[in-house]
Formats: sequence, C-alpha cells, structure tokens
Amino acid sequence: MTKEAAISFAGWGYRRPLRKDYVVKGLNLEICKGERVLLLGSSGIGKSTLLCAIAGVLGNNESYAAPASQREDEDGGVTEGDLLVEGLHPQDARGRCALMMQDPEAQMVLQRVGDNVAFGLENLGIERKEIWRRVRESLKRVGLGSVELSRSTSHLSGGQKQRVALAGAIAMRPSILLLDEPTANLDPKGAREVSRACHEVLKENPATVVLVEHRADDWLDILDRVVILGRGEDGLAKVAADGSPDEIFSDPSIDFDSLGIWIPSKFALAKLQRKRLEEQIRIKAESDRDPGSLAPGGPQSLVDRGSGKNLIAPSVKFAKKREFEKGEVVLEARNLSIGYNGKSIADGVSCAFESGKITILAGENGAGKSTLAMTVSGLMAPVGGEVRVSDDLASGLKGSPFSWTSRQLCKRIAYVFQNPEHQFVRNTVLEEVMVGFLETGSGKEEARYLAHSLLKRFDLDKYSQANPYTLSGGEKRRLTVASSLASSPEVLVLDEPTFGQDRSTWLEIVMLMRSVADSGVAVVAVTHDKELIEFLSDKVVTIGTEDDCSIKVKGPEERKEGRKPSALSPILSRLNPAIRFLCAFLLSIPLFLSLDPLSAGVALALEFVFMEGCGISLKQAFRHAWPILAMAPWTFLAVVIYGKKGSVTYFAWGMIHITNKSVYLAFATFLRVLAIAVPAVLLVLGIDSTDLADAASQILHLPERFVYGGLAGIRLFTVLSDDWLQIGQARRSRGLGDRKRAVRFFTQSFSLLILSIRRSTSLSTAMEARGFGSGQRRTCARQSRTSYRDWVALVICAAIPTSALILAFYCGTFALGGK
Amino acid sequence: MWRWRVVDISTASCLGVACGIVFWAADFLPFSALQAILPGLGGFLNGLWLFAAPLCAVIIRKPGAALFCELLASVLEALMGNIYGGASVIIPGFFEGLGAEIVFAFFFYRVWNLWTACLASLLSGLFCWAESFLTDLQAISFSGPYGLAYLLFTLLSAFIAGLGSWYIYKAIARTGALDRFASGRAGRSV
Repeated sequence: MTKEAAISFAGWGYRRPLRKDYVVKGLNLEICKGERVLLLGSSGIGKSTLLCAIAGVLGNNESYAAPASQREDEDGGVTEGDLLVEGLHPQDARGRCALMMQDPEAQMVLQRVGDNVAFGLENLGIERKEIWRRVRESLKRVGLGSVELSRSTSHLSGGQKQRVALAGAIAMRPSILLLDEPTANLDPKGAREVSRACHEVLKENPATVVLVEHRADDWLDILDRVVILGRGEDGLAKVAADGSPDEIFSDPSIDFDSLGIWIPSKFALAKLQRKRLEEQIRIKAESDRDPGSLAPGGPQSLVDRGSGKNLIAPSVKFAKKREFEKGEVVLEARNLSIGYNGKSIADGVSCAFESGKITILAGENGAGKSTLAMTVSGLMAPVGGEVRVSDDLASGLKGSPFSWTSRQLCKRIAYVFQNPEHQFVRNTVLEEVMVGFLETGSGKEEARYLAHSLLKRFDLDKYSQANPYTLSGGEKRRLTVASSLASSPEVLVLDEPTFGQDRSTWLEIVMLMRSVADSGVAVVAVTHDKELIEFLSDKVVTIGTEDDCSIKVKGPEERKEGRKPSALSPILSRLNPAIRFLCAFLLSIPLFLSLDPLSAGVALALEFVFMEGCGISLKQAFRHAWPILAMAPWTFLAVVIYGKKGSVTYFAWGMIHITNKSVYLAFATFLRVLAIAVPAVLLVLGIDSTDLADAASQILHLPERFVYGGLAGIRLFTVLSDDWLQIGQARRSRGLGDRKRAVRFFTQSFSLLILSIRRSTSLSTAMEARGFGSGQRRTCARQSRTSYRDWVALVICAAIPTSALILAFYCGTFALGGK
Repeated sequence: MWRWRVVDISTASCLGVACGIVFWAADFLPFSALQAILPGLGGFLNGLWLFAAPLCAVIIRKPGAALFCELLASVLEALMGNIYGGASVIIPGFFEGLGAEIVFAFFFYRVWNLWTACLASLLSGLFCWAESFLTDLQAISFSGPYGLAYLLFTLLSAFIAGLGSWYIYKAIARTGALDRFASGRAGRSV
C-alpha cells in the first residue's frame, strides 16, 4: 500500500529577493503522512527555506494561482515549480502546519506566556473556552504546567521560551510539525528540556514531522527517515541520500564532513569523523607555530607578508609587540563579585587568563558566564573585589579595566558579542575594520592598507565595500573578530562564538581562535558548546549552581508573578482600558470650546473630586502630574506676553504686549492646560498594552490585524532596552565609547533601529506561522469586558466639562476660542 | 499591492514604537520655555514629532502607513506618560499623521521620493501648527506676528524632518534590513 503524501515538491525552486542565484532549484521530494524526517545538508542549501515554504510563510504570493512557471511574490522572491501540502497550496494549508524556529526570542509574539500559546488558536478561530483548555493542556505537555499564564515571557529562560513556542505549535493540533533547529540556540540543559518535550509530544501524536538539526544525537529514536540534500553539478538541488537513520549514518560513501553534518556518536563513523577533526586542528596549530611557514597562519603573518611598506608603525602592535611568555597571566579576577546594578550573583570569584592560551568559560545559559566575562573585560562594573591586570597589559594604566577609557580599553581587551549586529558601527566592511586602526592612532591611508591586509587574511576582502549587515552568519562572525583584532588587543573575549553555526563555519571559527591564541593573545571563550570545549580548550572554568562547578553562583530566584496593577487605584483598574482613554478625551475635548478661567477652574475642581472618588488622593495626583505643573507656567508666560491684546496695556516692548486681556487669557490657559492634562495622565497611567489592544479590537472595533500587529511591536520595546545596553557596551569595547554624547546617542539609536526592523521581520514570520493575517475570522482568547462602572465613568466624564461650560455660559464668561 | 502584508504591519509597528520613544524623549526638551522666550521658536522642535509619518510611509508604501505610524507612536508616548498630559498627545498625533497621509494619497501612493517626503512633512507641520492654535494657543492670534513666526519655524523644522526621514530610510535600506520591501529593493542589487 502506498502511503498518502503529506508534502510533495515537484521541480520546486525559490530565489531570495535581490539574489541572482536560486537557494533551491529543481527539487523533487515527497514526504508521506506520519513520517518523521530529519533533513540534513550543508549551510546555505536552503533547509530553512524549505520549512518556511511548507509552512506557507515564504513570500506573500497572492497571485499564486497564476499559471506562470516563475512567480514573483511581494517580498521580491521568485518561486517556481510546485509544492503541495496535503494536496493544497501551502498558504491554504496554513494551520495544518506548525513551524518552530531556532531563535526563541523571535517566536514570542505577546507579553504573557498564556497569550502566546493562545495566539495561534485565536487565528484559527477556535472558541474561547476551548482555547484556554488547549493552552493549559499544551503547557502541561511541554513541562510548563506550573508556570503562571500571566508570567512575562521576558522572565523565561531560552529553553522555557522554546517550550512555550512548542506549546503554541502543538496547541494548534497540526498534522505537520516543522522543527527548524529547535535546540541550536540553547545550552545543553535547555536543549535536553526541549527535545524531551518534543519526544513527549510526539509519543502518541500521529503528526508528520520534518526536523532540521545539525546534531541529531538526541532525536534518533523518534526519527524514521533521513534525507540529505545536496547540489548536483548542474546546480540543481537533489536528494544526495535518503534512507533510515541506521542506513544513512553507517554509509561510509557519504561525505559528511563537507556536508557540514555531525554524525551521531552512537554510530561507528562518528569516531572517525572526530579523529579527522582533531587532525585538522592539530595541523593548523603546527603550521601556526612554524615561523618559516607562509601557510595561512595566525594573524602575525599578516604584517610579515604585507611588508615593503612602512608597516611597523607603533600602533601595529600585534605584529610582534614583544616576546610573549606563553602562559603568563595577563588578566585575573581576585575575590570578585559579579552582578547587575550592584546586586551580586556570585561572590569570591577567582580565575586567571593567560596569554597564548584559550580559556573556556562554560556553564548553563543565564548562569553568569557573560557577566563574568564582561566584568573582567571592563564592560561591566565589578560589584566587589578586584580585576587585576598584568603590568604588560596595563602598560602604564592604573585601576581596573572598567575605569579605563574606551580607547584605552580597546587596545588591550576586545570583546566579540554573541550577536555580531550589536557591534557594527560602519557602512562598509572595510571601514568596519579600519575603526580599530584609526582608534589606535594610525593615519587614514595606513589604516586602509592595514585593514585591507587583515580582510585578506580573513578571506573577506571581496566584500570590502559591502555593508556588514548583508554578510552571511559565518562571515559576520569573522568580520567581528577581524575588526576586534584591528586594535591589537592582548586579550580577546568571544561570547558564544559557535552559537547556531553549522559544522563548516564551526571549524572555521575554531581554527581562527587557535591562530589568534598562537599569536600570543589570551583568548577567552564563553560557551556551552561541548565540542568546542573538547577540541580547543587549554583550560576550562565552569560556572553554575551545581557543586562540581569551579565557580558557584546563586541560582536565579524562582519568581511568582501575578498581574501588575493596571491603574493608580483599584477602582480605575476595574474600568476597561479603552473606556479610560475615551474618558480622558471626553474630559478634555469639550473644554477647548471656551477659553475662560471659570469653565476651566470649575472643571479642574470637579476633576479632583472625581479623582478622589476614584481613590486617587490629591497627593498621589500631584506626584504623577507634577511635570505638567512644571510646563504650564511657561505657557502662561507665553500668553501673557504674546497673547491677544486688550484695551489696557501694562507693558510693551517689541513684539511683547502685556495687556489686561493677555493676562486674563493666560490665567485661563493655565487653568485649562491643567484641567485637560492632569486627568489625561492619571486616567491612562499603568494601562497594560495587551488589555488595551483587546479593548481596541473588541470595544472600539478597530481592525484586528493592525491592533495586534501594533501590540507585537510594543512588546519588542521590552527587548530593545537590552539591545541598547549591549550596543553601548559593544561600542565601548571597540574604542568608540569616548565620543561626544550626542554622536554616541545618534549612532547607537540607528543601530538599534536596524536591529528592531530585523526583529520585526522575523516576528512577522513567527506570526504568520501561527496563522496570523490569513484572512480567516479571528477569535480572541481574552474578553474585554465593560460593565455599568464604565458607563457611569463615561457619563461623569462627559458631565464634568459640560456642566463647567454651562455654568460659564450663564455667568457670561463663556468665550469661544478666547474671543 | 495595496493590501498590507503581515511583515508590513509588524515593521510599521516596530517603526511606530521606535518613533514613539523619540517622541517621548523629545517631550523633555524645553519646548514651552522656547515658546515663551522667543515667539514661535518652539516650532523649531516640532520636526521631532513630524518625521515618523513620512519615514514609515516611504518604507512601507501602503495606504495608511503614515497615519498608523504617527498614531501608534503617540499612543505609546501617551502610555509612557508625558508633560503634555498623557492621552492628549494622541490628538495632535492624529492630525500630523493625517497631514502626511493626504500628500501620499494625492499621489495615489505611487510617487516616493525626497520631494513627496518633504511635502508630506510640510503638510503635517501645517496641521500641527493649526492644531496648536485650535487648542493650547487659542489665546494667541494665529495671524499675528507670533502665529506667523511659529508657522515659519514649524515649516522649516518640518522640511528638515522630511529630509531627515528620507535619508534615514536610505541609510536603513543600505543595510539590507528592508530587502523584503519594494522600498528596500529600489536601487539595490546583489
């Protein structure tokens, strides 16, 4: 019996926007219902593209019915051939597929855990009761049953976030589950959690599974088919190997190394692969050490080869600064306390970093490895204790690295951030590398020359005029290392250098680190990558909560999180957020009709009574509204001297006319500014954006797509403050932290903007993968309620300005627009 | 072509949020004090609240982008609290967004260049100016020297904001962050 096909590609291809070459072309592949497939292939072969295509989130091709063989979508990508998902076009099959991606952060759409899991169900139009039943059930299945639904996703670890994403995926009851390197960005503990959760979920689930994962060890027992993608000589994608895991991983004719695949360790071939790897690294190290060798060696060979010109400028230290005593301690933590904002997470930390050696800081995510690394490299203030530097490293400077200026720091200690984009500061690759030379005193021409030779060494010279952001992941990483080395530091710290890289890039980075260390630099790598530790470390320092760690940290506090108060008083918080906004408008807009002290004064007085009734005391009101009191006198002054002229002039000079009328109007304006602004602040303070969005779509009937899109954008805001901090630190470590404040502010803002736009495009993929924007009627998991209280509040808020205006009318002070 | 894709919505939202932060930060500038010291000088700062609409519109290139972005930014500004009185900043936000939107609509959302961006910003500035005299500055004659000086400074600032929004867009497009948008692909090839 032939099984029914779940997914079938026929002559399928895709070309990304602005690219000449297809990522995938001419692919023929069929996956049957219920199969569990591992998809392998080297980086850039288009595995993620395939998953996105199956999930129907590749491009937004509304005219897909067009018979043309090549179809361009609105993203600028071009698709050809056919792809059917359960017999349907992928975009029509959305909801049948659930996609889980590698970046945990990019998959969090809303602020709270429960809402994130519910998001996909809302888009499928599931009923509210059923939504929450499935949310609880799915969270339990992934082992997060004890986490409150209202917990903020920013308080979850990477592994927990990834499990929330998995819960969101399975809650949709998909018949096809697509997993795109779900554990690549996690530490071993997080990875175990996630793969265990997947196993648990798939045990009794008949879903078809397509998994992309470089390291298959943890997944073997649920897989029944392995497909290796390759490229034929004609450039077309082809299936290089296809079979059961046992067949494939025992087949010696497959060149796993060049495909970038790690063979799972239970197979015999894995041992051979490891041996080859060791050999490669050993040969590399030897060629570096051999002074006569002109083989691509460590960075020291750069200047030797480029000689002829006056390269021995004093700034080019890393040519050969002095004879390195290998193993000399250059940087040392002594009884150090590390942490944030003066709160320590670990005390009594002592460890040393030696020149020419690679020291690995290992441990779970969030244990404090990066905090320690940043503290010793002068990017974070030590909470207590001492960071010691050798006399050579200090070369005349006093104090700990944190007290040095940015320029002094970058010549000594360089830090390469986990996300390369945090540290880009220039528009071209060449300029990016020149920064380091320029900051350490080279002239422009010299810097250009040196940067060119350095780029050549890192095999990046062909991109010298390209924008750094447009490079591939591995290239970006190499660029950040190159640009850090340009200021010839003696200590190089790398944060998760192999994070999310395939095996070939991995090897490239490993070789690079070896070379740098062999040139005499003290290399520190923060990582949880087992292989990296195994192949590269001269010394390992483990950080964690367990007893066998060499540095013990306090575990993160288990937190219980309820809902935050959403208003200044309990009565206000019971009002619907949309109604609160409406109240603010109702209170203020009518007052613009008349400009007179009576209506404004009466309205202000009544407002204070109303606020008091809502449980906001005068004192509280003052505490939150004082900035308005600071601004209002200026408006008063402006009207006094420039306001409409009356009959009696008290003072006149140039354009300034102080008259009886201008003073009267100024007084009226002053009172009215307060009457309008004070309640508008007090009423809306504390509104939760999710509640506001629910209210905006359910009560005000604003278009949902925009409301929830906007809400997801607002959530990014919480992520951005972390980004801002890191961008600032990256600039300090690159020697740009001493610039004028304004320059620093604007350049840093621009980087942040780019980063957030990138985040928003991956956010849109995550949202579409959960069925958002498909045009199907959406339900809402959270009900935005209104009660009699809301109507009472609205009536009062309308009555206050109305009665004030009527009073002014009868007393004869009513003045339309101040006339 | 006129229907918003999800990526349009998410990117416009993200831009709106980023602009909202700028709005909120700009609220701390001594706008009112400048108004009082020299007639209309405060208008020179208005550009800081005007660049959002043209910026978002030239990037997203869909109907409503200018209005959506300016409104979202002012909602965020309101939620964070500000000296102009919380929710009341949404009113000028709406009018400023509308001003820019009208210009792009006038060109049927087909013309995207430096000049339409500046024109949008100028109309947005005009609306901003008119809105002030309908509300906070009722007591001052809009046609008097103060009103005219304020108009002049506001338009000057709006023009700079228009220029700025166009060049910010260009700089963003160069990084490749906008490759999924027609605006990001214009004039770029790899």
